[in-house]
Amino acid sequence: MDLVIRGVAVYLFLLLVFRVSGKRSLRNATTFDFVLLLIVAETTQQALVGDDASVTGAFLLIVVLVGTDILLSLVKRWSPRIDRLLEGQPLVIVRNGVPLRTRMHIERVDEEDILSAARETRGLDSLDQIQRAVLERNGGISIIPTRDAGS
Amino acid sequence: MAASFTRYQQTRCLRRGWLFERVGWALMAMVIAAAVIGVFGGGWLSEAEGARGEASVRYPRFARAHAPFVISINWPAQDAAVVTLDRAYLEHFSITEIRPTPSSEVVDVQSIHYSFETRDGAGRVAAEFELRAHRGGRFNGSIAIGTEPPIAVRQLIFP
Repeated sequence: MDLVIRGVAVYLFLLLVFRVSGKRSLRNATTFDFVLLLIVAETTQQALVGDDASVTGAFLLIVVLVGTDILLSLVKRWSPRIDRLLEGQPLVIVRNGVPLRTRMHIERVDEEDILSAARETRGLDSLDQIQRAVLERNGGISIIPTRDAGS
Repeated sequence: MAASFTRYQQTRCLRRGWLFERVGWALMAMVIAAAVIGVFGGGWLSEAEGARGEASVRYPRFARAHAPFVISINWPAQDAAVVTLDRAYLEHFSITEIRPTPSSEVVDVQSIHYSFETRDGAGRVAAEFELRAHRGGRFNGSIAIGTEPPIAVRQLIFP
């Protein structure tokens, strides 16, 4: 039973921490973020496994973690409110070429992030060519070009 | 390969895939429920107790190899405090800790005898043996306290 409790507790704690850290934390792939993820993984492993080195214990933990993930996905499907609470929602950050600076500031997104996404996904190189930029739930930025830029 | 499938067969593949997933979810839920109640150790189903006279032994009937578990032994304070474990049982385990530390250990061909100093008085005293199994399997042993007949210990250890 302790394995089940530890697995669920660590999963929920990590969910809370990464939810609180904001969308961009999920997306940013700097060296520091990579190192941070490695350290979190190592710290989590000890909390999950403790001094249990059995194969059965490892299998149980995997089943608990995946099962918790499936359960949460079903809960989110059942309740859109819980879905928004756990995953957030997409956020428009550029409208008709105009960056919405307050939102960008809160979400820790700068113009360079938006232009980088525009170049990578649409081959656009200025904000004037963007009708709408949306910060997605996974931290990515979707670019909807203006009619002129899209043609 | 997809081109050789009719549209009906693709749907059948999808349905089979969904059914496989749902069956898997049900099995996972049963495994988690089994773990919560102690089928794999660490729950109420796993707790076992044996008694002889006033002495008793509590141990987990289910445990996992390479994971610690505790055998708890208690007896009246005024009785002689010698706990005897049979060696055939201990061959499959490592004793990682004994609480409190026994005052002496005596080994013979079949058993190991652990002596604990006690003071006369009312109440009961307890000793705990923390063990780890070397491998999975079914193991039977016995634990005797003082002059009482041995108490059988039967365990299923998961790998």
